[in-house]
Amino acid sequence: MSPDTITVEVIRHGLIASADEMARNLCRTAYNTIVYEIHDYGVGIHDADGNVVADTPGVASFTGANDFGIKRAVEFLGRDTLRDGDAVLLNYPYWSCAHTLDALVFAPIFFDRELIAFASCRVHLLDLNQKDPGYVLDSTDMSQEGIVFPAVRICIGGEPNQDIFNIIRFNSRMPERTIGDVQAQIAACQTGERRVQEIARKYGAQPLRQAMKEINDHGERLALAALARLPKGTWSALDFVDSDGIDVDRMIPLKVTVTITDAKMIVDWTDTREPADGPVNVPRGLTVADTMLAFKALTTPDSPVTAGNFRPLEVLTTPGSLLEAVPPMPTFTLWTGLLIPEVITKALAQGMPDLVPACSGGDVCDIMTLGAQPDSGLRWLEAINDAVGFGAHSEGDGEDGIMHVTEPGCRNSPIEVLETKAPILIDDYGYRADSGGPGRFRGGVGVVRTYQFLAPSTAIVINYKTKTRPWSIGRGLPGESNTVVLHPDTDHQQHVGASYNHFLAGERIRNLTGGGGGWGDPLHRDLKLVMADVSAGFVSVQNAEADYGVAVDPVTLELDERGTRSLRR
Amino acid sequence: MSESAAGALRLAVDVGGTFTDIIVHDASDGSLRFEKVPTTPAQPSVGVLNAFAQAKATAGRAEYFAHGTTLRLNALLARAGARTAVVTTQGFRDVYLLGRTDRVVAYDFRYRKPASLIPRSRTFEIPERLNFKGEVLCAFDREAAQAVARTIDGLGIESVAVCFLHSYVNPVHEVAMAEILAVTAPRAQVTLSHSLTREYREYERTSTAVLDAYIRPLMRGYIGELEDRLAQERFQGRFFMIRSGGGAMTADRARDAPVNLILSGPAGGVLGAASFAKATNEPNLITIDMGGTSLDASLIVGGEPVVQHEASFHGLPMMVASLYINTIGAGGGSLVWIDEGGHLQVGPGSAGAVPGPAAYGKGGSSATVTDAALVCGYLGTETALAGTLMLDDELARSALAPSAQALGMSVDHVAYGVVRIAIAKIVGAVRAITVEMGYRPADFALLAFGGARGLVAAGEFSTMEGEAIEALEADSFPSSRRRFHRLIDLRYQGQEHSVSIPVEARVDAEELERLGVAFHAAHALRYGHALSDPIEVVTVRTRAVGLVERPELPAVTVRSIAQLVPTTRRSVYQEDGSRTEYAVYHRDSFCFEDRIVGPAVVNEHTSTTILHEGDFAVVGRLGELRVDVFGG
Repeated sequence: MSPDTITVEVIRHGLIASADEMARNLCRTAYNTIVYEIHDYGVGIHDADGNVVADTPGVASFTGANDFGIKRAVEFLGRDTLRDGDAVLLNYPYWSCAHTLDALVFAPIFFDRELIAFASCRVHLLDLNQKDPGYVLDSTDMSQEGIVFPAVRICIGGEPNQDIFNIIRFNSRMPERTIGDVQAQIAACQTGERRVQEIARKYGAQPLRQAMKEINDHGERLALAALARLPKGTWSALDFVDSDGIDVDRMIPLKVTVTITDAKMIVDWTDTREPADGPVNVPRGLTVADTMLAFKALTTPDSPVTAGNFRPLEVLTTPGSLLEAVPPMPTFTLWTGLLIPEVITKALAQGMPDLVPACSGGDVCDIMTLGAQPDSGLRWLEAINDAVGFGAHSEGDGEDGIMHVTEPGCRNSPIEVLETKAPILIDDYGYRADSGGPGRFRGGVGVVRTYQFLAPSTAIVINYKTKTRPWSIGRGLPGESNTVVLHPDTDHQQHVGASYNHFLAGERIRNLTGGGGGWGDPLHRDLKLVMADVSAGFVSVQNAEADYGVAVDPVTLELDERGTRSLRR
Repeated sequence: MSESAAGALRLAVDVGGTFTDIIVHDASDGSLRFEKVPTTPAQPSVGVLNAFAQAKATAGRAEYFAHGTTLRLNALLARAGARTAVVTTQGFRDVYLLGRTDRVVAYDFRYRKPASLIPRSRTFEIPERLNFKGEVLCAFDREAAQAVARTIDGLGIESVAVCFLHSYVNPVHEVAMAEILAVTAPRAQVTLSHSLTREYREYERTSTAVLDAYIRPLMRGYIGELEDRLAQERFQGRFFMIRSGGGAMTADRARDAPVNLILSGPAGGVLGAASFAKATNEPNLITIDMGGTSLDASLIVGGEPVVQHEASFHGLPMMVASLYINTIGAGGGSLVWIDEGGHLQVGPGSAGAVPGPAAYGKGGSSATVTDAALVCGYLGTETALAGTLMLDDELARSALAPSAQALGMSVDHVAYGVVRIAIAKIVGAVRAITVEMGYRPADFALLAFGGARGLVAAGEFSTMEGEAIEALEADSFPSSRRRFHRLIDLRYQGQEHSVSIPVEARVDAEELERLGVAFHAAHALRYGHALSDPIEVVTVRTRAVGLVERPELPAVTVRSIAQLVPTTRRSVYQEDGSRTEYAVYHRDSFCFEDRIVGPAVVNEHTSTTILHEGDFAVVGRLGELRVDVFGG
């Protein structure tokens, strides 16, 4: 007898709790802060075919990518070769759907000698001998991006495979922490394995299998119900990747055509044909995963992630192109993927301007700083992602200063912690006034942070979408773009995007992050909202007049009603 | 304070959103009395005195009065606290409003943060700057500070939170700001961040100070009002408030740092559980406290509650010692609904106290977990909840009927499903806290308290060998002896997470070596591994504790006459669709070592316990029910 829908929900809660337990165990045992502070991970429980049935919030695009990785690895290894107690390590970018450092570990789960499910865990590892420490911005093929594990058994029958651990040990600049994190991934998968086996013991393997099928069927029904409510049609949009990392002046087009029918959403990337010379290419699996992020947000944002949610989604890419990298194309800088969700919403905005928000600041705005401590000579490295503004929408303003749509769980770094750990002084950190796109609803403002180096240091700016502005909807206006200023407020200040930069003690760098695009005509914005923005300092007196047609006394900050009437006429 | 004469009373009062509970321990006969009166939201001190009266507790006889409250939390939730301002370092006015810039919801591109406690127009900057060593890089600008203080005074601000960068190392500028505010903005109360916590992380420290400032005028007003009323009633004992981190603080201390009262209500239950853990030789307990809208789960390890220093209240961080409590949105009032995919869902929405579950008959028409429990027969219509509230089975059934129709199932079966789904969520929350702290759930017994508790306890926790037993309220706290607990937070160099280790007053070479060993072991338990990296000190903490004489908990009587007989019988829904007769007992009739064999329902004033076929319970020395779950 197949389980009724109530039992399916009870089993679902058990599976979600299992994934949650995996993530807590991972955070508890991982060695690197990027996992347990920034939550840069993807954890899931999958059915016997690799389709996710439960996950936990981490990096939003990872869980879909885990499905893809498991399926490719099982195909490569052969399903029949998997044994109870095995764990598989995969970081071959074209299969694992991320760069080499975002390594996937997964474990087949057996019950009564039968493969019933998979547990997966992906984290950002610290070092696998990629060409540069920390990050790679300018590789030209895969061989420069670190050591590759093409679905190898890191555990065999429950025992660690020391040969593989030794390969990592001799091929990492930080072997102890890298191995520690891989062990944490394995432990997380084993937690998932035990919990799923307990559920199978309680309900039986066959009912559990049927429940997992129903979880995905149910996820599909939810998505179809949401699709049915959406406007139907075909829309295209274009945005640009700043550069390929090699030729920094050449922008790379990213074009999408989205079609919505009663039963499907087709996202066609085949107009994005050319590959890039530098590492901004992305494997197809990541293109699909980032497309899924947009689809999920559009259709079923409030229900748990299941593979079934995405059955009505079709993603088209061209092999060998920017969005379907093939060996040995360089893929290390995954930043192209950050643009994907919002190029899709840009297309959708033409057909459903009331249902999607305008563009956000559009990037995770990361500056990685490194150097040697002046007193001890010890190497230090700090990476700080900064928040952007969200796009405005038909019902309200975009949020001010919030992490990009692709990294919901990520957090900024405390200034007091940073200054204690690194020879850096933060001069200021706060909202970036006037950066939100004006509109009847205003785009959220970005932030500004100024670093002063107290010793010679390097700053790797991993900051894209600096050359196109966050797009708006209707008569709304675009937000300000991301930009990074070297030596701000001096006569040799310079605006840059992704780049390596070297500094002496006393020199500065300023990170200004993008604001969201506006929605609707700013001249129709409620006067009270404009005045509140002026009084809070999100909009300057000058911009209130120029963009919103609202005259404000620059001293008292009071509304000039007559001036406003004539401006808004 | 008078001598602890025979006949003295110890009182504990908890003011909740709906009810004010009182427990009275009378030293003259060793008895415990429990009473419940309605909370009086407009003037809660009236309800407290009503509770005294209801329990026949003469204030003049009271030696100790311990007080916990969740009441002022509503002010936080409704953003109805004091008109508050933030004063901070120039260049950093937005640290508080930006927070950590993260969010829990993953797929909402329109996400807005919850409303801030203060608008940006009430954030002020002063030119001043320290580095991480506490050295002054930029002197405190007194003139600018005076100008800000004048503005604050002019705006009629009631409360000010001051947090400068690195003030945890050197508070000199915060102190200077307080002096200026005292003179120039005398109507405003002031909270200095370093006085609450001496730890780094500027957003969390600012948030702690803002929470304190935001509730300070309200809490001070309330404590003063209560003291006045107690004085009128000739109260001469000592008055303590339960603090979030466990233990109690004098009313004077509470006035100086009200942020320590934010989790006062839930902490009281967990503290009671800890003393119960000692009294019953169950050193490791999982506690669950299920109310109308949410469930709090916590841990007792080795007889002590688990304390953390990075708690938060509805997303607002507070860096003060707080008991480790995991709250999930699953309570008796959690709403039942059918999603677009045709599946039954429970919560996270709640019917709240008003209108509450449909069965309350207060106008609610949406089905809730309480309605489902009534239809299953776990709750009855024959006994009043909390003294006065009668449940209506017909209203519960009609509320569940649309869901039953949508699913093509009987109302009974849907009701049973609602309970199963609610339990599945709760089990997940309980597993989460034990796993996160590095423990195995199987090493713990289960202690359930709160209204809806017994329903879940006996249902699903068989894997954890759960034992559902009655909680005790926190007792009174005299101060006769003092102890100091010294803790040192250590971490591996360059890591973020630290571990607290108890440390001796004198740190010599031997102690250092012991600390190293203890740290590696504690890190391995908490994080699953130890490293060979150098260890560094993050924070040193001292906790001064006044030890109290705890009264002996009264033992329940031994049965001398008559058998234990059920008060009635009730038909309870079973998984296979049948109904079985359950014997219904009233807990007040239990004596020491009584055995209650399932199927049975145990009713009491505030709670219900279900024993299915194969389960049985034994009444312990203190009246606790020790349940063995075999069925399920």
